[in-house]
Amino acid sequence: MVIFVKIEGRPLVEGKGRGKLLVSKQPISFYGGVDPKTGIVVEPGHELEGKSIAGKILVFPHGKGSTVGSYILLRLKKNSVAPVGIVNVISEPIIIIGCLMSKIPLMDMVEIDVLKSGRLAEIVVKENGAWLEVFDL
Amino acid sequence: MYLTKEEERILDGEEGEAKSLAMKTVVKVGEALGAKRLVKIKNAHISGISYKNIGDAGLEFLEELVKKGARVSVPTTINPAGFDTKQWKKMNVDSEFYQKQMKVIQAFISMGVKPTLTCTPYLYTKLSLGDHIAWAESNAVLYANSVIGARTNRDGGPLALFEAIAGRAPYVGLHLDEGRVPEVLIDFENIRDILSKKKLYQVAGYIVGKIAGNRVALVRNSGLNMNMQDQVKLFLAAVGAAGGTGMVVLPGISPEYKEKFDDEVSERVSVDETELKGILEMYGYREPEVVVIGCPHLSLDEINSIVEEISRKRGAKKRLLLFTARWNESSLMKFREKMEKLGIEVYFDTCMVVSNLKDFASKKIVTDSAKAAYYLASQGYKVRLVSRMDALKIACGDFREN
Repeated sequence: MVIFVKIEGRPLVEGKGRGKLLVSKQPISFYGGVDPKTGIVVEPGHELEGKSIAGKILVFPHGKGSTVGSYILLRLKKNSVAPVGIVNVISEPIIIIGCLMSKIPLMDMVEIDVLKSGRLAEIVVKENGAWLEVFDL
Repeated sequence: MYLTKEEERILDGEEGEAKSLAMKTVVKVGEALGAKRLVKIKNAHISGISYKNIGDAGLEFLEELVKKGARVSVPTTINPAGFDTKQWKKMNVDSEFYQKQMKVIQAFISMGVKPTLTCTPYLYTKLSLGDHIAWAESNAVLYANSVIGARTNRDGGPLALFEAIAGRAPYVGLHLDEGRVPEVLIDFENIRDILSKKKLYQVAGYIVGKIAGNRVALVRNSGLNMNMQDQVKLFLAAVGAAGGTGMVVLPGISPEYKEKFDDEVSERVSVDETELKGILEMYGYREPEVVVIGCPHLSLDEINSIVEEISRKRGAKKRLLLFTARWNESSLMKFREKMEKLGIEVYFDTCMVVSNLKDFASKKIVTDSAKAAYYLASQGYKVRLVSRMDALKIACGDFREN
């Protein structure tokens, strides 16, 4: 397995995770938008509706909706159906705090247009740097 | 980000693990938002209290903070919970939910929080122009910034908790002078008369929220003034439900309004009657069973005028549910029998949005709150949105469709 592409971003919440990419061009509201028990996106009409974010590296532009969303990330983690990492164009407080509380690696300032769902990838976030490595199968 | 020596010491854990974690979170968020430093806050208000929303994970998280010795550093209050802590049985709350919710409240009390359980802290907390605070709960954020001139960003529930523990907030956004300048002017000149005749300011607020998005908005010709606090509350709550902004500037009400704002905005929008009608149609359910009022929580004055009005109309024929803060319980004691006779039910500590309204009332409701209409409709309720006057008429069975 070789690295197909490596993308750098801004480190926000430290950690490391490996999983398949799940990419959304639309923003995500965790409160009301994702079932905390199953990790399945339930927002009607959302491009990820019906898909599971469990174990994925979840890629989306930014969060939206209620600030209870931070607690939903925590509930996902406790139920073992959280994403293994999150990549944003720009993260706002709901996502940053949710990831800090539930220890989900988070980076932002990434051009997400080049990323495609289904590819295996690894997210590494350290104090002084963050990158996403997408593998060539 | 620049940190003072004291802040660095807190970050390094010299004032305990919990405060260090709180400081770390506030700094992370501040850095992400581009803050150059933190600002000390005088007061905090936390949302995300209902067990229905935060679940076991939220409860465990709060209890862990307590175990780590977390204490708030400034006077801190909290939003409504999932039920009235005294009348919970009447609300068909099961005992598991009751116990879990009480544990959530207890965790906050252990951290030194005042369990006010109301979304209207601005009615009970003394604040001044220019005070820096950290409030969650969008209607309270809008009231603090727009009416009092206190400064807070629209923080989320957990962020406000961390800010309360750290005693600081990122010095960014609405904390800064330049963050409080309106970018868009929204003008109600065309429907000013309709708004004032039909008392549909909450619908105007909903329109403002939609247009403003995340921007500070200057609102012209709303017809609102400070003698109409009830309408100002409904208006601002609607702004917060429909949009992401934490501040609107209302000439005559907002202490920070300056004439030059009118020339400096980059966009001007004029609202007409079509938009007003569109929203009333969206929440136009014709057969509501229960009338719910109190989003935001009613003030004592508001309850008094509702009781008077219902008394004039000789009592309610439909169930009429009012929601308010526990603060008002003792003042209302003397009316208890009168209200019961008039068919008025008063609930404390909770509201129609965060409780399981359908379990003790109905899924078909009428309200005067555009915020409640928005959130209840998104939970599958059938909703009619009208002015408060019309809501009371519907309650008493003397409302005529026009």
